[in-house]
Amino acid sequence: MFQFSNIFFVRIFTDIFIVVSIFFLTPWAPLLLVIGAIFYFKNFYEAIAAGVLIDMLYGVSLVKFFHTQWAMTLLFLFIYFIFNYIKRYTRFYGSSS
Amino acid sequence: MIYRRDNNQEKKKKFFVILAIFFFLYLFTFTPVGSFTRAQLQRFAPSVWGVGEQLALSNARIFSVFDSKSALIEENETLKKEIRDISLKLLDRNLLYEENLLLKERLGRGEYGQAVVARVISKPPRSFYDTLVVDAGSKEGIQVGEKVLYGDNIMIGEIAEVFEKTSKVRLFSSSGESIDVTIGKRAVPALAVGIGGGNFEIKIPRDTLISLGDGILAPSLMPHFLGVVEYIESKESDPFERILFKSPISLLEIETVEIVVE
Repeated sequence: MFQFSNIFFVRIFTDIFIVVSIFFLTPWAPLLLVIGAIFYFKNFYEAIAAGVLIDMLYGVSLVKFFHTQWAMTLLFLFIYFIFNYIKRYTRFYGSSS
Repeated sequence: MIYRRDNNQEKKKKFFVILAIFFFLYLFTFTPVGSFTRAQLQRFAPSVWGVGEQLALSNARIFSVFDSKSALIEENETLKKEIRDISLKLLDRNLLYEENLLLKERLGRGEYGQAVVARVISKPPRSFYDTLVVDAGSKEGIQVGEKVLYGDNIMIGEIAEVFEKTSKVRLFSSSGESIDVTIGKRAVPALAVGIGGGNFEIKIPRDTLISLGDGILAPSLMPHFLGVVEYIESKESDPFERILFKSPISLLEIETVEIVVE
């Protein structure tokens, strides 16, 4: 039978904190939280969802983001893959990936 | 005994995850699902921001107890003086503004868009996008491309996206965004390019007569103020000079804006 583990609750709490940071904190907060969470949790797909949420809330087509309204989604997608790749080669987190 | 790890299973799983991600991205970008979800989110987001605002207000009230009395008296005096100065300037400005409207009306060009006042519910630096979210949308007759002003006459941006109750404002000072302007009394035409944080940059030929303090306006029948020339960088080796200016209002202090409904 499926049992809720501690890590599950920590993950839910992290997700909530990321959503709150998107609404109320500076843009660096969700970015750093997501990077930390990618290292800590296995397959942290919520990172991409965070990018989608930022784009939906604040995104407009801007010159600096090459007129795409999905710049943060693409950035978080890139961060997800890059940091998952880096994680494999680190001593502390390598075994859990 | 040594077993080989089943890498095939892992690879298949990863492939399907990536496929799912791209499928959702496609769904959100190229189908009505994206705009529907955005509209629903914009319906619910203002109440979340409202709760945050209330929390911040009550926090400020609690901590104001610890402010020193003398500092408050001093601040009060400074603010009173500032209000007196500003009221005098405003009186003069209002008289000129009314005279301007009257003259335009006599010349048959009195018709001008109506302004809708909107409260700013999200402003920089909440995201890497330099955008404002305001609490007026299609219900109030707002449309994409309409100009957004601060305090009657300072132009700050334009409407980029409209939802039922909210709209997103693209700021002209966002990095890379540009706007046609005129500089000074001679109305020298130029292109102001945003460099972020309420700042702009203009490049014009070096011999153009521009001096510090010249007003920068967005040209129209009713020219809107953008800022004053604050810095001029000129090099012997460069045929162009670089002018820097910033919006007279800090984006962090904006509470309400006016949207000119065409």
